[in-house]
Amino acid sequence: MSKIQYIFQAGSLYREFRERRMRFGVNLPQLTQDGVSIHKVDFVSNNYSCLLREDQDVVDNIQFPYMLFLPEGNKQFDEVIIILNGLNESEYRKFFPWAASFAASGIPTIIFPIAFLINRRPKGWFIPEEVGKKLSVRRNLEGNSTCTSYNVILSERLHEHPERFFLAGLQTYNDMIDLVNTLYCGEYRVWREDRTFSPFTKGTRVHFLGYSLGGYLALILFLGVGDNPILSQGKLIIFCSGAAINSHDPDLNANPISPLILDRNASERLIEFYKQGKNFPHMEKVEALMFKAVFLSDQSILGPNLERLKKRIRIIGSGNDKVIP
Amino acid sequence: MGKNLGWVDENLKLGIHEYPFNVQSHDQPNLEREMSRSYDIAKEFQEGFKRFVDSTIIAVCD
Repeated sequence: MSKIQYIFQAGSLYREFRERRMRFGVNLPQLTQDGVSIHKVDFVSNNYSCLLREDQDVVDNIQFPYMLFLPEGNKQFDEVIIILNGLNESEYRKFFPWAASFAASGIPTIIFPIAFLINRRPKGWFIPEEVGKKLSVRRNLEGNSTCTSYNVILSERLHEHPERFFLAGLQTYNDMIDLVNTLYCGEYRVWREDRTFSPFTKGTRVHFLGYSLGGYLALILFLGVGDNPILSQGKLIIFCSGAAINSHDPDLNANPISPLILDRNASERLIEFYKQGKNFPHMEKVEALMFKAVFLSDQSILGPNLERLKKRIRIIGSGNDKVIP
Repeated sequence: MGKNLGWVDENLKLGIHEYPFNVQSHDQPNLEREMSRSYDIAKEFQEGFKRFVDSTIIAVCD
């Protein structure tokens, strides 16, 4: 491995790449700077049939671009880190120093958006006048607080249908299996100038860095298919993630009430929905079993599985974290 | 998280959950500016960021 590099300032890389110009199906030339090259890669999700009927037509959630950071040069690589984002994440920008540091240190890195987050959300959800109207409605809900223009859209969606939380995760879970399969089988291709190239060798080891919501999702993925050959050589880094929602000590529970995540009513509705064991689509699947084991701290399932995977998992927390204590 | 998962390998001193390497508090006056500049790691979190990068890369290469 190369010497570890720390990219503290990725502003110039970010501005040059122009995240806002990323469009599915439209070529965006790769950008190379400071030993890292960034590629826009298109993805088509074939896993949207699990969603609520009204969510299945959101095209931006089905076909979208994501980012691949490669160490500069033409060599092929045999490992990659996939970063999964947090709840209500709106942009790629804060992950730039993370991905750039890993790539500059010799490890290719993908930043992949979870369903209905970052650029898997239609721009039509964010027309300022509409956001203002919705904000006014949510501020007037009895007992509500922490309502902001940042959290209003997700708050409304999850308050209306808390099952969306699991279903978006289920879609992304299956997207991850498809992506990991492509990487592992050596079928992953990226556009460079006027042709495609294959940056990864067959048998590539795929690692996950799951941050916040992405940490839960990556953990559930490892609990489900972590021993499958496509993932069995991979490592999982859980960053600021993994707290339960049903501890007797409320200070130990995940708490998404935040001006940047969810308002109070949406958060309480979401947590109560899953804590009370309400029915939701696909709850008979093994993914739902693992989902409940993690969020509801079912140690009879979680304990032995985590023990089995312990050598492949690294958990990083933050002492000041109020959302995931 | 440690209670649910059973262990924590590294506990860093970072900022708020949503911007762990950029923002100290939701109440800080320049919150939106710091969020919009999150492509850069704030000075006070550079040490934590180094440990985060080290920890991740060591885990992957171990």
